[in-house]
Amino acid sequence: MMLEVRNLSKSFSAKAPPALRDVSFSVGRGQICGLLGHNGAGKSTAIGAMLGLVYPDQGEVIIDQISVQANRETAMKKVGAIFESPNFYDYLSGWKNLKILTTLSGRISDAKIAEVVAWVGLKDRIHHRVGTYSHGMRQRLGLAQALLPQPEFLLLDEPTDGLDPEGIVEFRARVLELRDRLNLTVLLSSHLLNEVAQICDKVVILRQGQLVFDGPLQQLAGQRAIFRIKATNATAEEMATAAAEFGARWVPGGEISFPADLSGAKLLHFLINEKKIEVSEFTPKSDSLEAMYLDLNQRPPTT
Amino acid sequence: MSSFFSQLGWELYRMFARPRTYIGFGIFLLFELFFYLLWSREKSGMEKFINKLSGGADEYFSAITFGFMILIATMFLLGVIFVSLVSGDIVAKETEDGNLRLLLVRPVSRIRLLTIKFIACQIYTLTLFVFVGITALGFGILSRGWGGGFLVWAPELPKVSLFGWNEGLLRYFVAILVFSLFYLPISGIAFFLSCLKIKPAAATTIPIGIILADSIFFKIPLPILDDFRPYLMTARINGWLYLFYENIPWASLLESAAWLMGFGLTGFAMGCIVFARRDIKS
Repeated sequence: MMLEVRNLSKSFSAKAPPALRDVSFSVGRGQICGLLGHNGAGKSTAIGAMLGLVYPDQGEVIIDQISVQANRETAMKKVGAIFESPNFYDYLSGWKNLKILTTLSGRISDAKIAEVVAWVGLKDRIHHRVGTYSHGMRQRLGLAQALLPQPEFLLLDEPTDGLDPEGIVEFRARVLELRDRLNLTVLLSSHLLNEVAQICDKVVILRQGQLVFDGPLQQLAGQRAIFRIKATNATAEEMATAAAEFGARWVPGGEISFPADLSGAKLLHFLINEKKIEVSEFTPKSDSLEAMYLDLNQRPPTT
Repeated sequence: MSSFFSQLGWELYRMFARPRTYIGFGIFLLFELFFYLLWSREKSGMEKFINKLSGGADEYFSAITFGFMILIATMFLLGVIFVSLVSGDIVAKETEDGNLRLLLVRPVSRIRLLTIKFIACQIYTLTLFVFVGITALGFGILSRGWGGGFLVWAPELPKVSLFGWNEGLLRYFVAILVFSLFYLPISGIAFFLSCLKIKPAAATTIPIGIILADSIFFKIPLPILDDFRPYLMTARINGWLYLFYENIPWASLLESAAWLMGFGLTGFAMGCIVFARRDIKS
């Protein structure tokens, strides 16, 4: 395993709910893992613990068999990280920023820096002040600084936030290329399911500091069935009650979700024959992954 | 070890490349120019005063004396503020701006990173003092020409100190170096505050308040304070003036320097302890 998160818990204040509650998951070498969750779900705290920026109250993070909490400096030799908005020194050029950062990562030659700069597409602007860079260019510089120490594990925290659609597509392509060329392990934190669905092998979903899902995307999509439903003679409350009786969940807006091992036909039979509800539409939802994600984020978390 | 100096070198490069460095140095230069113009207009009054102290204004109202007056006046008004601003900003501002997060995910310890930043602050401060010292002397030469003696007078000195040109120049430049070292406690306090989870402005202004309160306590003529006075920072900072005694009391000078280094390094150590266990979330 490249990354192992073991029983991570963290509270920042006694008054506020814990930011992380006994979170455990792992990512294999060469995998791309999506870390999903709404704002405040605990993604940033988890990433902070992985990078040694946040001290967990309990648990530890292991990167390639090295504990970040016990031996941070050695563990960080294997890590490259990109943050949502990489804060460089605006008054210096991109090149000088890279020199400052790489000096802290050991000896990295100018030729290597130039090679990475060319790969991220910043060759023409690298000697200009970062203050003149667009958001997309800052992200490219962020990618360059993360790749220069030649990491084995790349941690991307909301890397496409603020990028235009072209920039997002390009960023995804580069991440996939990196994984294929260098066998990098990637953890991609995002609150956008669509983003992780396109490149990730597995996803970890956090909600209110707790792990609510850890597995391949296919498993997430196939875990529950989601149907659009329209009833002509039942209120939303009545639908919610009937769905709960069947073991399903009514999603306001006209959707109903239930475990995949229960059959849609049985649900329909139950609603029509036992609950006397007139159903005018009952169709499986094609974007079930997104619906599943929303469903997971509405359910009470379970450990 | 070479990587340490390389990292220190880049930290210094970064500090000196900041626009605020040029603005800061420019403000010092403007204040020096102000005092130069002010005292150039009041030449006769100054000459009378120096004549009264030394009996020879022609000799002792010289470039070094004039430069020294500019240096002291400028540093008195701006020195504490600037040192506090530099050291108070170094961690707090970078944490607030998010720059520090990119540095902290590198395979270096927080203590090493803070040590580099603290040393860079001291070198930066020393450079500022040397800059002000040289430019003040430049204004002195512009006003009084080359040559003459060097007169130093301060209430803390047992008598007016008079030196020739060569010895005066030597004492002037050594004094600049020692003076910058004597600002270490202010730097240490500001650095410590900078490592706390507070706004950069607070880390900058609190040390100024502390040194102001310290100097007020030092000046209050209450016998009850006499026992505590030697422990105040102002008492030790004034030890800088030992350099202008005819026979320098080296033991007393070193004692004051040790006290002040103790203050400064304690601030630095406390900052490191606090910061080493601090959560950096964003």
